[in-house]
Amino acid sequence: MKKLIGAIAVALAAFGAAVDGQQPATTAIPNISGLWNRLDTEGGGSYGGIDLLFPRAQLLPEVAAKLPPEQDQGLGNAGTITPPVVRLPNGAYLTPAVAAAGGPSPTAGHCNIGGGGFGGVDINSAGMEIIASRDEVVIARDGAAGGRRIYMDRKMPDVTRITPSAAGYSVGRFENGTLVVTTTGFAQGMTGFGRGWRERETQLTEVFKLSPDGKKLTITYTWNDPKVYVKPHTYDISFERWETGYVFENYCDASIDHPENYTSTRLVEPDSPSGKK
Amino acid sequence: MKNTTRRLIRAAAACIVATAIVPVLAQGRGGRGAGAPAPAVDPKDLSGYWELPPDGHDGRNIPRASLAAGVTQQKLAQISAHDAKGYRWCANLGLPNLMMLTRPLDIRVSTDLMTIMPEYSAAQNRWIYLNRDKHIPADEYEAGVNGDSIGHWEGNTLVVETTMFHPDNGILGIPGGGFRTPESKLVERFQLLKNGQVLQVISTWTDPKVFRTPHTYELRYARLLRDYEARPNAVGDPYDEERAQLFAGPPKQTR
Repeated sequence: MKKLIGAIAVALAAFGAAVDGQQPATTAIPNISGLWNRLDTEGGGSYGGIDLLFPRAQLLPEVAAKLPPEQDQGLGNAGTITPPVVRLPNGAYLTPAVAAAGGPSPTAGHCNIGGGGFGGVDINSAGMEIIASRDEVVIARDGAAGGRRIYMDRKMPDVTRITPSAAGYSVGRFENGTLVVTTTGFAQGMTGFGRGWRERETQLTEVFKLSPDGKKLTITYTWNDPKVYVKPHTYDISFERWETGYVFENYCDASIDHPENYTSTRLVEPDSPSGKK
Repeated sequence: MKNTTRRLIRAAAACIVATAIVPVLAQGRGGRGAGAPAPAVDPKDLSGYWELPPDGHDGRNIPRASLAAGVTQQKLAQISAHDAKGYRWCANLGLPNLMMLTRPLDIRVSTDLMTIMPEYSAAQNRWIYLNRDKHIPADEYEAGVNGDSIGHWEGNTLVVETTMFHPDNGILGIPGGGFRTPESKLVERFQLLKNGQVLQVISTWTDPKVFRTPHTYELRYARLLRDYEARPNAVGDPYDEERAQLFAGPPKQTR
Protein backbone atom coordinates (compact mmCIF):
# COMPACT_ATOMS: atom_id res chain seq x y z
CA MET A 1 0.00 0.00 0.00
CA LYS A 2 2.79 2.39 0.92
CA LYS A 3 4.49 1.59 -2.37
CA LEU A 4 1.29 2.40 -4.22
CA ILE A 5 0.92 5.75 -2.45
CA GLY A 6 4.57 6.54 -3.10
CA ALA A 7 4.26 5.66 -6.76
CA ILE A 8 1.17 7.83 -7.15
CA ALA A 9 2.91 10.75 -5.42
CA VAL A 10 5.92 10.45 -7.71
CA ALA A 11 3.68 10.19 -10.77
CA LEU A 12 1.69 13.25 -9.72
CA ALA A 13 4.82 15.28 -9.14
CA ALA A 14 6.31 14.32 -12.48
CA PHE A 15 3.06 14.88 -14.32
CA GLY A 16 2.54 18.26 -12.74
CA ALA A 17 6.02 19.40 -13.72
CA ALA A 18 5.55 18.20 -17.26
CA VAL A 19 2.21 19.92 -17.70
CA ASP A 20 3.49 23.14 -16.29
CA GLY A 21 6.31 23.11 -18.80
CA GLN A 22 8.90 24.11 -16.24
CA GLN A 23 12.32 22.72 -15.65
CA PRO A 24 12.43 19.97 -13.02
CA ALA A 25 13.44 21.38 -9.67
CA THR A 26 16.71 19.48 -9.76
CA THR A 27 17.92 21.18 -12.95
CA ALA A 28 20.70 23.63 -12.20
CA ILE A 29 19.79 26.92 -13.84
CA PRO A 30 22.87 29.04 -14.51
CA ASN A 31 22.60 32.77 -13.98
CA ILE A 32 23.40 33.86 -17.50
CA SER A 33 21.41 37.08 -17.20
CA GLY A 34 23.41 40.26 -17.43
CA LEU A 35 25.56 42.45 -19.65
CA TRP A 36 28.26 40.68 -21.61
CA ASN A 37 31.17 41.94 -23.67
CA ARG A 38 32.89 39.86 -26.30
CA LEU A 39 36.44 38.95 -25.52
CA ASP A 40 37.61 38.21 -29.06
CA THR A 41 37.73 41.79 -30.23
CA GLU A 42 41.02 41.35 -32.02
CA GLY A 43 40.41 42.51 -35.56
CA GLY A 44 37.49 44.60 -34.38
CA GLY A 45 36.26 47.42 -36.59
CA SER A 46 36.18 45.02 -39.45
CA TYR A 47 33.97 41.97 -39.38
CA GLY A 48 36.26 40.44 -41.91
CA GLY A 49 39.07 40.85 -39.42
CA ILE A 50 37.23 39.01 -36.67
CA ASP A 51 36.03 36.37 -39.08
CA LEU A 52 39.60 35.40 -39.90
CA LEU A 53 39.90 34.10 -36.34
CA PHE A 54 37.17 31.51 -36.81
CA PRO A 55 37.55 28.04 -38.33
CA ARG A 56 36.38 27.78 -41.89
CA ALA A 57 33.19 25.84 -42.53
CA GLN A 58 33.62 22.71 -44.60
CA LEU A 59 30.85 23.00 -47.13
CA LEU A 60 29.70 20.62 -49.80
CA PRO A 61 31.03 21.85 -53.16
CA GLU A 62 27.62 22.79 -54.53
CA VAL A 63 26.97 24.91 -51.44
CA ALA A 64 30.39 26.52 -51.45
CA ALA A 65 29.61 27.70 -54.97
CA LYS A 66 26.74 29.79 -53.57
CA LEU A 67 29.00 31.89 -51.39
CA PRO A 68 29.87 35.38 -52.56
CA PRO A 69 33.51 36.35 -52.89
CA GLU A 70 35.20 37.04 -49.62
CA GLN A 71 34.34 40.59 -48.79
CA ASP A 72 34.22 42.74 -45.76
CA GLN A 73 30.62 43.96 -45.59
CA GLY A 74 30.73 44.78 -49.27
CA LEU A 75 33.59 47.21 -48.80
CA GLY A 76 36.23 45.11 -50.47
CA ASN A 77 38.23 42.01 -49.73
CA ALA A 78 38.74 41.20 -46.10
CA GLY A 79 41.78 43.03 -44.93
CA THR A 80 41.59 45.68 -47.60
CA ILE A 81 42.74 48.93 -46.12
CA THR A 82 41.13 51.54 -48.31
CA PRO A 83 38.10 50.09 -50.06
CA PRO A 84 36.52 52.28 -52.71
CA VAL A 85 33.40 54.20 -51.88
CA VAL A 86 31.04 56.29 -53.97
CA ARG A 87 30.34 59.84 -52.91
CA LEU A 88 26.90 61.38 -53.28
CA PRO A 89 26.19 65.06 -53.93
CA ASN A 90 25.01 65.48 -50.36
CA GLY A 91 28.34 64.30 -49.07
CA ALA A 92 27.20 60.84 -48.10
CA TYR A 93 29.20 57.79 -49.08
CA LEU A 94 27.79 54.64 -50.58
CA THR A 95 29.46 51.29 -50.62
CA PRO A 96 30.12 49.89 -54.09
CA ALA A 97 27.45 47.25 -53.64
CA VAL A 98 24.85 49.82 -52.69
CA ALA A 99 25.87 52.17 -55.47
CA ALA A 100 25.61 49.34 -58.00
CA ALA A 101 22.13 48.62 -56.74
CA GLY A 102 21.08 52.13 -57.60
CA GLY A 103 21.35 53.70 -54.17
CA PRO A 104 20.36 52.98 -50.64
CA SER A 105 17.70 50.44 -49.98
CA PRO A 106 14.37 52.12 -49.25
CA THR A 107 13.67 49.85 -46.35
CA ALA A 108 16.89 48.66 -44.82
CA GLY A 109 19.69 50.17 -42.90
CA HIS A 110 18.54 53.75 -42.64
CA CYS A 111 18.21 55.53 -39.40
CA ASN A 112 15.79 53.61 -37.21
CA ILE A 113 14.51 51.46 -40.05
CA GLY A 114 14.44 47.73 -40.04
CA GLY A 115 14.07 47.35 -36.36
CA GLY A 116 17.60 47.57 -35.09
CA GLY A 117 16.95 44.30 -33.38
CA PHE A 118 18.83 41.09 -33.43
CA GLY A 119 19.43 40.39 -37.09
CA GLY A 120 20.42 36.81 -36.58
CA VAL A 121 21.92 34.43 -34.11
CA ASP A 122 25.50 35.57 -34.46
CA ILE A 123 26.60 38.27 -32.09
CA ASN A 124 28.50 40.93 -33.97
CA SER A 125 28.27 43.65 -31.40
CA ALA A 126 30.65 43.88 -28.52
CA GLY A 127 27.77 44.53 -26.16
CA MET A 128 25.21 41.80 -25.51
CA GLU A 129 22.50 41.48 -22.93
CA ILE A 130 20.80 38.30 -21.78
CA ILE A 131 17.79 37.99 -19.56
CA ALA A 132 16.61 34.51 -18.69
CA SER A 133 13.06 34.33 -17.41
CA ARG A 134 11.03 31.23 -16.64
CA ASP A 135 9.58 30.74 -20.07
CA GLU A 136 11.74 32.89 -22.34
CA VAL A 137 15.35 33.91 -22.70
CA VAL A 138 15.93 37.15 -24.57
CA ILE A 139 19.20 38.22 -26.12
CA ALA A 140 19.64 41.78 -27.28
CA ARG A 141 22.43 44.13 -28.05
CA ASP A 142 23.19 47.72 -27.26
CA GLY A 143 21.03 50.20 -29.09
CA ALA A 144 18.53 47.59 -30.25
CA ALA A 145 14.79 47.68 -30.56
CA GLY A 146 13.71 44.14 -29.81
CA GLY A 147 15.88 41.09 -29.69
CA ARG A 148 16.15 37.38 -30.14
CA ARG A 149 13.77 35.13 -28.25
CA ILE A 150 14.49 31.62 -27.04
CA TYR A 151 11.37 29.83 -25.91
CA MET A 152 11.87 27.64 -22.87
CA ASP A 153 8.41 26.19 -22.52
CA ARG A 154 7.60 24.74 -25.89
CA LYS A 155 8.64 22.24 -28.49
CA MET A 156 10.13 23.05 -31.87
CA PRO A 157 7.31 23.45 -34.39
CA ASP A 158 7.50 21.77 -37.76
CA VAL A 159 9.95 23.73 -39.87
CA THR A 160 7.28 24.34 -42.51
CA ARG A 161 5.37 26.43 -39.96
CA ILE A 162 8.32 28.71 -39.23
CA THR A 163 8.62 31.89 -41.26
CA PRO A 164 12.25 31.78 -42.43
CA SER A 165 14.42 34.49 -40.92
CA ALA A 166 18.04 35.16 -40.09
CA ALA A 167 17.36 34.30 -36.47
CA GLY A 168 15.16 31.27 -37.13
CA TYR A 169 13.08 29.82 -34.33
CA SER A 170 14.75 28.86 -31.07
CA VAL A 171 13.77 26.59 -28.23
CA GLY A 172 15.96 26.04 -25.21
CA ARG A 173 16.42 23.96 -22.10
CA PHE A 174 18.72 23.98 -19.13
CA GLU A 175 20.89 20.90 -19.05
CA ASN A 176 23.77 20.06 -16.75
CA GLY A 177 24.25 23.68 -15.74
CA THR A 178 24.21 24.97 -19.31
CA LEU A 179 21.61 26.51 -21.57
CA VAL A 180 21.19 24.42 -24.69
CA VAL A 181 19.39 26.13 -27.58
CA THR A 182 18.22 24.55 -30.80
CA THR A 183 17.36 26.76 -33.75
CA THR A 184 16.04 26.08 -37.22
CA GLY A 185 13.80 27.74 -39.80
CA PHE A 186 16.50 30.03 -41.16
CA ALA A 187 16.38 32.26 -44.19
CA GLN A 188 18.94 31.15 -46.73
CA GLY A 189 22.25 32.92 -46.31
CA MET A 190 25.70 32.98 -44.82
CA THR A 191 26.40 32.36 -41.18
CA GLY A 192 28.10 35.15 -39.33
CA PHE A 193 31.44 33.48 -38.85
CA GLY A 194 33.61 31.00 -40.68
CA ARG A 195 31.84 31.47 -44.00
CA GLY A 196 29.23 28.88 -43.28
CA TRP A 197 25.84 28.60 -44.95
CA ARG A 198 22.35 28.12 -43.65
CA GLU A 199 19.22 26.80 -45.28
CA ARG A 200 15.72 26.65 -43.90
CA GLU A 201 16.23 23.20 -42.37
CA THR A 202 19.76 23.78 -41.13
CA GLN A 203 19.96 23.18 -37.41
CA LEU A 204 22.03 25.27 -35.06
CA THR A 205 22.82 24.09 -31.56
CA GLU A 206 24.19 26.61 -29.09
CA VAL A 207 25.51 25.73 -25.65
CA PHE A 208 25.77 28.64 -23.21
CA LYS A 209 28.22 27.75 -20.47
CA LEU A 210 29.20 29.88 -17.51
CA SER A 211 32.59 29.75 -15.85
CA PRO A 212 32.49 28.56 -12.23
CA ASP A 213 32.75 32.14 -10.94
CA GLY A 214 29.96 33.27 -13.26
CA LYS A 215 32.07 36.00 -14.83
CA LYS A 216 32.77 34.41 -18.17
CA LEU A 217 30.33 33.01 -20.70
CA THR A 218 31.20 30.78 -23.62
CA ILE A 219 28.76 30.04 -26.40
CA THR A 220 29.58 27.05 -28.55
CA TYR A 221 27.86 27.14 -31.93
CA THR A 222 27.38 24.01 -34.02
CA TRP A 223 25.78 24.32 -37.44
CA ASN A 224 24.58 21.02 -38.79
CA ASP A 225 22.98 20.16 -42.09
CA PRO A 226 24.02 17.12 -44.15
CA LYS A 227 22.84 18.93 -47.27
CA VAL A 228 25.21 21.82 -46.55
CA TYR A 229 28.18 20.72 -44.50
CA VAL A 230 30.78 18.02 -44.94
CA LYS A 231 30.94 18.01 -41.17
CA PRO A 232 29.26 20.20 -38.53
CA HIS A 233 30.63 23.74 -38.39
CA THR A 234 31.63 24.50 -34.79
CA TYR A 235 33.14 27.53 -33.11
CA ASP A 236 33.11 29.33 -29.77
CA ILE A 237 32.59 32.94 -28.78
CA SER A 238 33.56 34.05 -25.28
CA PHE A 239 32.27 36.94 -23.22
CA GLU A 240 33.04 38.55 -19.91
CA ARG A 241 30.38 39.85 -17.57
CA TRP A 242 30.21 43.65 -17.31
CA GLU A 243 28.89 44.08 -13.81
CA THR A 244 29.29 47.82 -13.52
CA GLY A 245 28.21 48.84 -16.98
CA TYR A 246 25.03 49.88 -18.66
CA VAL A 247 23.42 49.33 -22.04
CA PHE A 248 24.25 52.02 -24.56
CA GLU A 249 21.55 53.67 -26.58
CA ASN A 250 21.98 54.37 -30.24
CA TYR A 251 20.46 57.63 -31.33
CA CYS A 252 20.07 58.58 -34.93
CA ASP A 253 18.34 61.70 -36.18
CA ALA A 254 17.02 60.85 -39.61
CA SER A 255 16.16 64.47 -40.31
CA ILE A 256 19.84 65.31 -40.54
CA ASP A 257 21.42 64.80 -43.93
CA HIS A 258 24.38 62.89 -42.66
CA PRO A 259 26.24 59.97 -44.22
CA GLU A 260 25.46 57.64 -41.35
CA ASN A 261 21.79 58.39 -41.76
CA TYR A 262 21.78 57.72 -45.44
CA THR A 263 23.86 54.80 -46.58
CA SER A 264 22.66 51.30 -46.08
CA THR A 265 25.84 49.64 -44.98
CA ARG A 266 28.78 50.44 -42.80
CA LEU A 267 30.66 53.52 -43.86
CA VAL A 268 34.30 54.17 -44.36
CA GLU A 269 35.76 57.63 -44.16
CA PRO A 270 38.08 58.00 -47.16
CA ASP A 271 40.60 59.92 -45.14
CA SER A 272 40.79 57.23 -42.51
CA PRO A 273 43.97 55.24 -43.17
CA SER A 274 42.68 52.07 -41.62
CA GLY A 275 39.20 52.37 -42.96
CA LYS A 276 37.93 51.99 -39.42
CA LYS A 277 35.55 54.36 -37.80
CA MET B 1 -8.84 -3.01 1.45
CA LYS B 2 -9.80 -3.33 -2.19
CA ASN B 3 -12.28 -0.47 -1.82
CA THR B 4 -9.66 1.70 -0.16
CA THR B 5 -7.25 1.03 -2.99
CA ARG B 6 -9.91 1.78 -5.59
CA ARG B 7 -10.81 5.06 -3.89
CA LEU B 8 -7.16 5.99 -3.78
CA ILE B 9 -6.71 5.22 -7.45
CA ARG B 10 -9.83 7.22 -8.36
CA ALA B 11 -8.62 10.14 -6.28
CA ALA B 12 -5.25 10.01 -7.96
CA ALA B 13 -6.88 9.86 -11.38
CA ALA B 14 -8.99 12.91 -10.52
CA CYS B 15 -5.87 14.76 -9.39
CA ILE B 16 -4.10 13.93 -12.63
CA VAL B 17 -7.05 15.17 -14.71
CA ALA B 18 -7.24 18.35 -12.65
CA THR B 19 -3.50 18.89 -12.92
CA ALA B 20 -3.73 18.55 -16.67
CA ILE B 21 -6.76 20.77 -17.18
CA VAL B 22 -6.15 23.70 -14.87
CA PRO B 23 -2.97 25.02 -16.52
CA VAL B 24 -4.59 24.76 -19.94
CA LEU B 25 -7.57 26.78 -18.80
CA ALA B 26 -5.27 29.27 -17.16
CA GLN B 27 -3.74 29.97 -20.55
CA GLY B 28 -7.07 31.22 -21.73
CA ARG B 29 -7.68 28.59 -24.35
CA GLY B 30 -10.82 27.52 -22.57
CA GLY B 31 -12.34 30.93 -23.08
CA ARG B 32 -13.67 33.42 -20.58
CA GLY B 33 -14.94 31.80 -17.40
CA ALA B 34 -14.38 28.37 -18.81
CA GLY B 35 -13.37 26.59 -15.64
CA ALA B 36 -11.68 26.51 -12.31
CA PRO B 37 -9.79 29.58 -11.11
CA ALA B 38 -6.23 29.87 -12.34
CA PRO B 39 -3.52 28.72 -9.96
CA ALA B 40 -1.81 31.36 -7.85
CA VAL B 41 1.09 33.05 -9.58
CA ASP B 42 4.35 34.39 -8.26
CA PRO B 43 3.47 38.01 -7.41
CA LYS B 44 6.93 39.08 -8.51
CA ASP B 45 6.89 37.33 -11.86
CA LEU B 46 6.43 40.33 -14.11
CA SER B 47 7.93 38.48 -17.08
CA GLY B 48 5.60 38.12 -20.01
CA TYR B 49 3.99 39.97 -22.88
CA TRP B 50 1.85 42.91 -21.82
CA GLU B 51 -0.49 45.11 -23.79
CA LEU B 52 -2.53 48.22 -23.12
CA PRO B 53 -6.20 47.96 -24.04
CA PRO B 54 -6.55 48.92 -27.69
CA ASP B 55 -9.19 51.65 -27.47
CA GLY B 56 -6.78 54.31 -26.25
CA HIS B 57 -8.72 54.95 -23.04
CA ASP B 58 -9.24 51.75 -21.09
CA GLY B 59 -6.32 50.87 -18.87
CA ARG B 60 -5.22 54.48 -18.68
CA ASN B 61 -5.91 56.83 -15.78
CA ILE B 62 -4.10 60.00 -16.77
CA PRO B 63 -5.13 63.21 -14.99
CA ARG B 64 -4.07 66.60 -16.24
CA ALA B 65 -0.70 67.67 -14.89
CA SER B 66 -0.33 70.75 -12.74
CA LEU B 67 2.43 72.67 -14.44
CA ALA B 68 4.88 75.04 -12.83
CA ALA B 69 4.39 78.75 -13.33
CA GLY B 70 7.50 78.95 -15.48
CA VAL B 71 6.08 76.65 -18.12
CA THR B 72 4.80 79.07 -20.71
CA GLN B 73 2.53 78.43 -23.67
CA GLN B 74 5.48 79.27 -25.84
CA LYS B 75 7.55 76.54 -24.18
CA LEU B 76 4.74 74.03 -24.56
CA ALA B 77 4.38 74.93 -28.23
CA GLN B 78 8.10 74.46 -28.64
CA ILE B 79 7.95 70.99 -27.05
CA SER B 80 4.94 70.12 -29.17
CA ALA B 81 6.79 71.10 -32.35
CA HIS B 82 9.85 69.18 -31.22
CA ASP B 83 7.81 66.03 -30.66
CA ALA B 84 5.92 66.41 -33.93
CA LYS B 85 9.25 66.47 -35.72
CA GLY B 86 10.33 63.42 -33.72
CA TYR B 87 7.28 61.44 -34.82
CA ARG B 88 7.76 62.59 -38.39
CA TRP B 89 11.35 61.39 -38.44
CA CYS B 90 10.80 58.25 -36.38
CA ALA B 91 12.95 59.38 -33.48
CA ASN B 92 13.80 56.81 -30.86
CA LEU B 93 10.82 57.46 -28.61
CA GLY B 94 12.19 56.82 -25.16
CA LEU B 95 10.35 57.35 -21.90
CA PRO B 96 7.55 57.85 -21.23
CA ASN B 97 6.27 57.32 -24.75
CA LEU B 98 7.66 53.80 -24.95
CA MET B 99 5.35 52.69 -22.16
CA MET B 100 2.32 54.00 -24.04
CA LEU B 101 2.72 51.89 -27.18
CA THR B 102 -0.33 49.91 -28.18
CA ARG B 103 1.64 46.93 -29.40
CA PRO B 104 2.77 44.43 -26.75
CA LEU B 105 5.74 45.03 -24.52
CA ASP B 106 7.93 42.02 -23.78
CA ILE B 107 8.95 42.42 -20.15
CA ARG B 108 11.61 40.10 -18.78
CA VAL B 109 12.92 40.15 -15.27
CA SER B 110 15.90 38.37 -13.78
CA THR B 111 17.54 38.82 -10.41
CA ASP B 112 19.80 41.66 -11.50
CA LEU B 113 18.34 43.02 -14.70
CA MET B 114 15.01 43.79 -16.31
CA THR B 115 14.15 44.74 -19.86
CA ILE B 116 11.11 46.17 -21.57
CA MET B 117 11.22 45.37 -25.26
CA PRO B 118 8.73 47.00 -27.61
CA GLU B 119 7.72 45.77 -31.04
CA TYR B 120 8.53 49.02 -32.78
CA SER B 121 11.68 49.92 -34.63
CA ALA B 122 11.61 53.49 -33.29
CA ALA B 123 11.60 52.41 -29.65
CA GLN B 124 14.82 50.93 -28.38
CA ASN B 125 14.73 48.48 -25.51
CA ARG B 126 14.53 49.83 -22.02
CA TRP B 127 16.83 48.46 -19.31
CA ILE B 128 16.29 48.53 -15.57
CA TYR B 129 19.12 47.62 -13.26
CA LEU B 130 18.13 45.70 -10.15
CA ASN B 131 21.68 45.12 -8.99
CA ARG B 132 22.55 48.65 -7.93
CA ASP B 133 20.91 51.20 -5.68
CA LYS B 134 22.63 54.26 -7.08
CA HIS B 135 22.53 55.86 -10.48
CA ILE B 136 25.63 55.89 -12.61
CA PRO B 137 27.63 59.07 -11.94
CA ALA B 138 26.60 61.74 -14.39
CA ASP B 139 30.14 62.17 -15.65
CA GLU B 140 30.26 58.49 -16.62
CA TYR B 141 26.80 58.27 -18.14
CA GLU B 142 25.78 59.20 -21.63
CA ALA B 143 22.28 60.55 -21.16
CA GLY B 144 19.66 58.84 -23.26
CA VAL B 145 16.01 58.84 -24.13
CA ASN B 146 15.30 56.13 -21.58
CA GLY B 147 17.49 57.60 -18.84
CA ASP B 148 19.15 55.48 -16.18
CA SER B 149 16.69 53.19 -14.41
CA ILE B 150 17.33 51.37 -11.13
CA GLY B 151 14.81 49.21 -9.35
CA HIS B 152 14.18 47.46 -6.07
CA TRP B 153 11.39 45.41 -4.55
CA GLU B 154 9.16 46.76 -1.82
CA GLY B 155 7.10 43.71 -0.92
CA ASN B 156 5.49 42.61 -4.17
CA THR B 157 5.93 45.99 -5.83
CA LEU B 158 8.88 46.76 -8.05
CA VAL B 159 9.85 50.40 -7.59
CA VAL B 160 11.85 51.85 -10.48
CA GLU B 161 13.52 55.25 -10.39
CA THR B 162 14.70 56.85 -13.61
CA THR B 163 16.65 60.03 -14.18
CA MET B 164 19.39 61.52 -16.38
CA PHE B 165 17.33 61.91 -19.52
CA HIS B 166 18.73 63.40 -22.69
CA PRO B 167 17.71 67.07 -23.06
CA ASP B 168 16.57 66.85 -26.68
CA ASN B 169 16.51 63.33 -28.04
CA GLY B 170 13.31 61.36 -28.25
CA ILE B 171 9.73 62.38 -27.54
CA LEU B 172 9.71 64.74 -24.58
CA GLY B 173 5.99 65.07 -23.88
CA ILE B 174 4.51 63.39 -20.82
CA PRO B 175 0.97 61.96 -20.70
CA GLY B 176 -1.32 64.47 -19.01
CA GLY B 177 0.90 67.42 -19.83
CA GLY B 178 4.40 68.65 -19.26
CA PHE B 179 7.66 67.29 -20.60
CA ARG B 180 10.81 65.65 -19.39
CA THR B 181 14.12 67.42 -18.88
CA PRO B 182 17.54 66.20 -17.73
CA GLU B 183 16.44 67.10 -14.20
CA SER B 184 13.21 65.13 -14.31
CA LYS B 185 12.81 62.11 -12.07
CA LEU B 186 10.35 59.32 -12.79
CA VAL B 187 9.31 56.77 -10.18
CA GLU B 188 7.26 53.82 -11.40
CA ARG B 189 5.60 51.21 -9.23
CA PHE B 190 5.05 47.88 -11.02
CA GLN B 191 2.56 45.54 -9.40
CA LEU B 192 0.58 42.51 -10.55
CA LEU B 193 -3.19 42.54 -10.13
CA LYS B 194 -5.91 39.98 -10.79
CA ASN B 195 -3.77 36.98 -10.03
CA GLY B 196 -1.05 38.10 -12.38
CA GLN B 197 -3.25 38.81 -15.38
CA VAL B 198 -2.95 42.60 -15.11
CA LEU B 199 0.17 44.69 -14.65
CA GLN B 200 -0.38 48.01 -12.94
CA VAL B 201 2.25 50.70 -13.43
CA ILE B 202 1.84 53.91 -11.46
CA SER B 203 4.17 56.62 -12.72
CA THR B 204 5.09 59.77 -10.85
CA TRP B 205 7.11 62.56 -12.42
CA THR B 206 8.82 65.22 -10.39
CA ASP B 207 10.62 68.21 -11.83
CA PRO B 208 10.16 71.54 -10.03
CA LYS B 209 10.76 73.50 -13.22
CA VAL B 210 7.99 71.63 -15.02
CA PHE B 211 5.46 70.41 -12.46
CA ARG B 212 3.94 72.39 -9.63
CA THR B 213 3.19 69.12 -7.82
CA PRO B 214 4.31 65.58 -8.66
CA HIS B 215 2.40 64.31 -11.67
CA THR B 216 1.03 60.80 -11.24
CA TYR B 217 -0.81 58.59 -13.71
CA GLU B 218 -1.61 54.91 -13.97
CA LEU B 219 -1.45 52.38 -16.77
CA ARG B 220 -2.85 48.84 -16.66
CA TYR B 221 -1.58 46.25 -19.10
CA ALA B 222 -3.23 42.92 -19.88
CA ARG B 223 -1.07 39.80 -19.91
CA LEU B 224 -1.13 38.07 -23.28
CA LEU B 225 -1.51 34.33 -23.65
CA ARG B 226 1.50 32.26 -22.78
CA ASP B 227 1.88 31.11 -26.34
CA TYR B 228 2.12 34.65 -27.73
CA GLU B 229 5.26 35.23 -29.77
CA ALA B 230 6.76 38.59 -30.56
CA ARG B 231 6.01 39.78 -34.06
CA PRO B 232 8.57 41.50 -36.24
CA ASN B 233 8.92 45.13 -35.29
CA ALA B 234 6.49 47.61 -36.73
CA VAL B 235 8.62 49.84 -38.92
CA GLY B 236 8.51 53.59 -39.00
CA ASP B 237 10.24 54.77 -42.16
CA PRO B 238 11.31 58.42 -42.04
CA TYR B 239 12.24 58.30 -45.71
CA ASP B 240 8.78 57.21 -46.81
CA GLU B 241 7.45 60.31 -48.56
CA GLU B 242 3.85 59.13 -48.59
CA ARG B 243 4.04 58.55 -44.85
CA ALA B 244 5.56 61.99 -44.42
CA GLN B 245 2.43 63.51 -45.97
CA LEU B 246 0.56 62.36 -42.89
CA PHE B 247 2.44 65.00 -40.95
CA ALA B 248 2.13 67.77 -43.53
CA GLY B 249 -0.98 69.76 -42.80
CA PRO B 250 -4.65 68.88 -43.18
CA PRO B 251 -5.58 65.48 -44.64
CA LYS B 252 -5.66 65.30 -48.39
CA GLN B 253 -6.16 62.55 -50.91
CA THR B 254 -2.94 60.71 -51.74
CA ARG B 255 -2.74 59.76 -55.39
